[in-house]
Parts: sequence; C-alpha cells; structure tokens
Amino acid sequence: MNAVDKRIIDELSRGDTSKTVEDCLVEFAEENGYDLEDVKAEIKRTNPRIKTWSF
Amino acid sequence: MAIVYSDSSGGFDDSLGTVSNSTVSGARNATSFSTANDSSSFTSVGHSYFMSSTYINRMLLSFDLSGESGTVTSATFNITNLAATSGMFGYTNTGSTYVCKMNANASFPNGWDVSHRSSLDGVPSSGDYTGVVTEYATNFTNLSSLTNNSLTLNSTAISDINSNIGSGRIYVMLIHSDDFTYNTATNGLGSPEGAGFGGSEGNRFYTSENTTNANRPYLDITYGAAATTPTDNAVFMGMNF
Repeated sequence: MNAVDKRIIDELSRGDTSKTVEDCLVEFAEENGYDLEDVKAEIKRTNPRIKTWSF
Repeated sequence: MAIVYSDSSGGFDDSLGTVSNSTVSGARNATSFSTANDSSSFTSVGHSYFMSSTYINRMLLSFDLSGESGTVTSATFNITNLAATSGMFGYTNTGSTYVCKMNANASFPNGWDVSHRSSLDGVPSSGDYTGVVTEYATNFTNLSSLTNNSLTLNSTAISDINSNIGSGRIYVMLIHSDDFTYNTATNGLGSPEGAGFGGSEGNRFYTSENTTNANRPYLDITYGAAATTPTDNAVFMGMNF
C-alpha cells in the first residue's frame, strides 16, 4: 500500500477496517457526484511520483 | 404530533442530483441532472471544480404523507449535517442551505428522474433564485460541526402538507447558497473555496439510508386539536345532567 492509498483509507474509511481502497473511492465518488474513473485518474495525475497503485 | 421520515426506498428514496459542465452557467442552469444517486448514507449539497468542470450538487427528498390524517398547524424539517473534514479528501462547510419546494413531475409519478431538476417551484432559466424560487423555510447556516438542524416550515409548506395529507407527498430540494444566489465571484461557483479534493464546499447531510433514526431527514408534524363534540345535557328522571 503506497502513501496515497493509506491516506485514502485513513480519510475515507471512517474507521471501518473492512473497507478497501476501492470501497472508499466508490463511496467518495458517489457522495460527490463524481465518476469513479475520473477520481482515480485525478489521484494518479496529482501524485506522479507514485508508480504502483492498488486501483 | 407525528414523525414522517423521508423516503428510504422506492423511486423517491432521497437522492443526490449532480450536474457537471465545463462552464459555470452550463452547470447552474441545466434543466436536467447529469447523474443521480440514492444509495449513500450521506450526500453533499454544494459545489466543486474537478477535471476542468464545475460540479453542482443538490439533495432531493420526498415525504410520503399518505399514512397521515388530520389538519397540520405547524411542522419542522429536521436534517443532520456532518462535520467538516480536512485532508486530501476534506470537505469545507460554508455558506447556507436553502430548503426549496419541488413540484410533482407528471411524467415521472413513481420516482426521481434527472428531469426533476426542472421541478423546482418557480425556477427561472438563469439568475438569482431569491424571491423567485419557492422556499419552505428560512435558509440555515452550514456549521462546521455535526449539527441537527431543525427548521420551522412556513405557511406555504404547511399548506402543501395539508393538501397532501392522506394521499400524497411533498418534495424538497436542498440548494447551497452559492448555487441559489448564482454567486460566480471568487469562492463562488467555478472557484470553490474548499481545501480538499475538487475544492468541495457546502455541506454534507445524512440521508434516509443512515442507520441512526435521529440522523435521518424527517418532518415533525403538529396537528391541530381534534374538533370537539358538542355536549348535550341529558334529561334523566326529570333532572338535567
């Protein structure tokens, strides 16, 4: 798990340890009206130093 | 008194309606939502700027009054907002939220449709909604802490509730102040002031999917006193009782 994946879990899981990074991003996209793939693309675009992602 | 929760299932389950567009005017003045979602346990009412597009979110609520009876004299609309958050995905609570009337959509009598964006009562094609769109209550400030907001509904709302008691629904759309007043200045639509992902600002509210009843949106209805039955004195054994 890279540093951004960890931040996703920390900020979006709301303490639910069963949630995966993917679960968190799905919920985040739904709650804000975003397209899930756009959210993933933007996270990757703004964190260019990270080469390996879990999503 | 009676508690009526917003619809938590079926076609009118409370929902997020989103519009995204490359221009602020295109997002604000759209006649249909781009997407709608009713499965989240909370949803946002506000705006952001993401992937070179302005996003505007509104919340749609329906209250089924078919199981009620009587004449309502007063009511409150109750909704709980989440606390602001910080960080990469933070959400900034700003401005205020407007509680607005929606009309039934004759083309979609059994559930939400993206075209319900145009069901906002009095909605103009553009410009400030103040004094034009029908409000059900005084707008309330979006506080940064978790807050149970209880709003006294106005006479228009009470009249609409009474018109639908025992048979129908009332529909509510929540709109952020930047959206309602068409604020396109700095920190307004197109340049949100939030610090997190997309600069999201406004407020987030628990939906009917929340497992804690106190957090779900609801109406608290007060009925007028039941009509009194005239008391007739009975004549009994020559005595007037």
